[in-house]
Amino acid sequence: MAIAETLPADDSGLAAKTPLTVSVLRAFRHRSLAAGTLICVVLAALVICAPLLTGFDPAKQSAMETFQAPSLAHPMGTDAFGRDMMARVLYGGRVTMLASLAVVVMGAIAGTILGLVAGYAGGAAGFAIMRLVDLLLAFPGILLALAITAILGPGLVNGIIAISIILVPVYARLVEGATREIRSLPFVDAAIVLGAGPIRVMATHILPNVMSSVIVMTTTWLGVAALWITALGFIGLGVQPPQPEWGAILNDGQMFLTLAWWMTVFPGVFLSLFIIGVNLMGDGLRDVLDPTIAD
Amino acid sequence: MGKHVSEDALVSIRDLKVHYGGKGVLASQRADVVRAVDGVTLDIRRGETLGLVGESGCGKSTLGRALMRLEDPREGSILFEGEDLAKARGQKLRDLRKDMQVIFQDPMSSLDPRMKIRRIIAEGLVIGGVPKAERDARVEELIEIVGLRREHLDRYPHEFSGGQRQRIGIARALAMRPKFVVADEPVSALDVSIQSQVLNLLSDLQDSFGLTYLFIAHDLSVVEYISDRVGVMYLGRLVELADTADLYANPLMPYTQALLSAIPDREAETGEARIILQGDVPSPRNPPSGCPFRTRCWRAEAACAETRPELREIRPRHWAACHFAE
Repeated sequence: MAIAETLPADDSGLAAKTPLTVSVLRAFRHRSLAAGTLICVVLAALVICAPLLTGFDPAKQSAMETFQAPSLAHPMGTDAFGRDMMARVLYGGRVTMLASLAVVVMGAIAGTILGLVAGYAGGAAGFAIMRLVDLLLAFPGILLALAITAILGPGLVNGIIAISIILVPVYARLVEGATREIRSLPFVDAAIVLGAGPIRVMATHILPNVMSSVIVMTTTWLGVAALWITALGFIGLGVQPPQPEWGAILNDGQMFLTLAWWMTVFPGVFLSLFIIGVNLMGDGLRDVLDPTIAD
Repeated sequence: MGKHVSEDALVSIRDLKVHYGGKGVLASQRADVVRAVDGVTLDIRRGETLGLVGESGCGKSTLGRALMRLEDPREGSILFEGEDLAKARGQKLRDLRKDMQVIFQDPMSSLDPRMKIRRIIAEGLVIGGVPKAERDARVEELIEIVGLRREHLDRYPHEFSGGQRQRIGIARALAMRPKFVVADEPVSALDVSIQSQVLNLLSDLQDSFGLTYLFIAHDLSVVEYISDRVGVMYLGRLVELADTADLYANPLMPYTQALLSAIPDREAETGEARIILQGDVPSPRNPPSGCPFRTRCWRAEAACAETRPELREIRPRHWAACHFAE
């Protein structure tokens, strides 16, 4: 045993150990990442399989069955219109989760492109872009979202656009800083001397090297995006009735909080679980993808 | 050392200046100029290794980067085979740059950590539109030329040692079949035992491919070993230039004398006492009038502050910028 351990490592084994497999291996050992991923996967499975789990239509009203407490027929009870809460929570989860995902993806793409261009170009162009970004950042997020939805009009799509605009400066700043740092490294100079133009350098050298930060950022902001989407839904600027969405359901329930707790508790628990799940995942990913942690 | 040095210049640098800053709205911003390279004139001959030495901050790396147009020269010209590189832009610049490559000091950050070696070496070929089959063949040939094995191609940079990475950087530069290579302190980040291997590789490659090197270093013994001629820089200026043996035996400029006397064991070999320089290198923001070295020179006289000594040919093939050199 002792001899085997002191032998030089077989270097043919190294070839298979790419950074990707190393990080995947490390990821499984990370507890909060595993827990967060588990929560998110279970929630996603529940909302995707909604038609299998409940036979009710989330929009179907039933005047005879209003305010029913949780029972075998309605595991999460019914609401003021006699709609099945479980169907509303599960179908509503689809909207909330997809909308938050759309928000971070759109914000990430736009912000990353702006940050790359500003960081790589530098000079007057970079300065102009970043001051515009600072201007956006100066507004309190939710206020900006309200203002944008007030201009565009209420609705889910407009809400998604509004919130992704709030995220743009967050990504732009992160990516701009990282881009400036990477741009000064010799491998970028080497690429330029080899004949690479700015777009090639950004696409092949800078983007892959900032991607892990962008992914970490995306998971940490996914929870915030979900909160903002539900906030817009809650105040009636997001999805419009009768479409279910966690924020809108919570708003339906808050009027009857003392009368029918299940109308608020179930969507609330699902929303909290989702946010806890993505935050745990974000924390874990940050640890795993952080380049300062050695292999 | 280059075996086939010819007398014609591959690269002709004329009065090259690279300044930083000096731009802006305010007068104080415009006055704040760092003269990193301040009027260098130099011919690099086809097939030779020109060593460039000097203290940190003397502008030797900036000069190398300016030759690759990684820095934009403010004034002067860089003729590469008769074409002016200093003013080329866009496609023209890319075409000219194909014949010149660079080897960097830091073997860690000169390779993209997210790329496999195969992709790193092939990068220039991909940009140049070389078909995949030909590219793969070239890359496999190159990795063996620099002393690594084909199976190394599918690994990432972090799996290699500093010396191996430097070999990969050399293979990447060679892939473009350059005529001229700027080696910017290529061995200073390596262990001494690895240094000589990489230096020998560089001179073997020079013989096989007829390369011309600008070899930038601060290690004087490394430069002596590899160079045909040596240039000494001080505060953005070239202050002495001569054949290696001549320069090391008879330095004419006091700064070169001080620099050479700082080589360990030289005192014992030559019997000359070590020259200890007083003070620091003046700031390139505010260089002294006249001779840049006069503030630290033990031979400085009033004339040194008034007129700047030009680089002149004191002896055949031995140039120095000093009023007292003879």
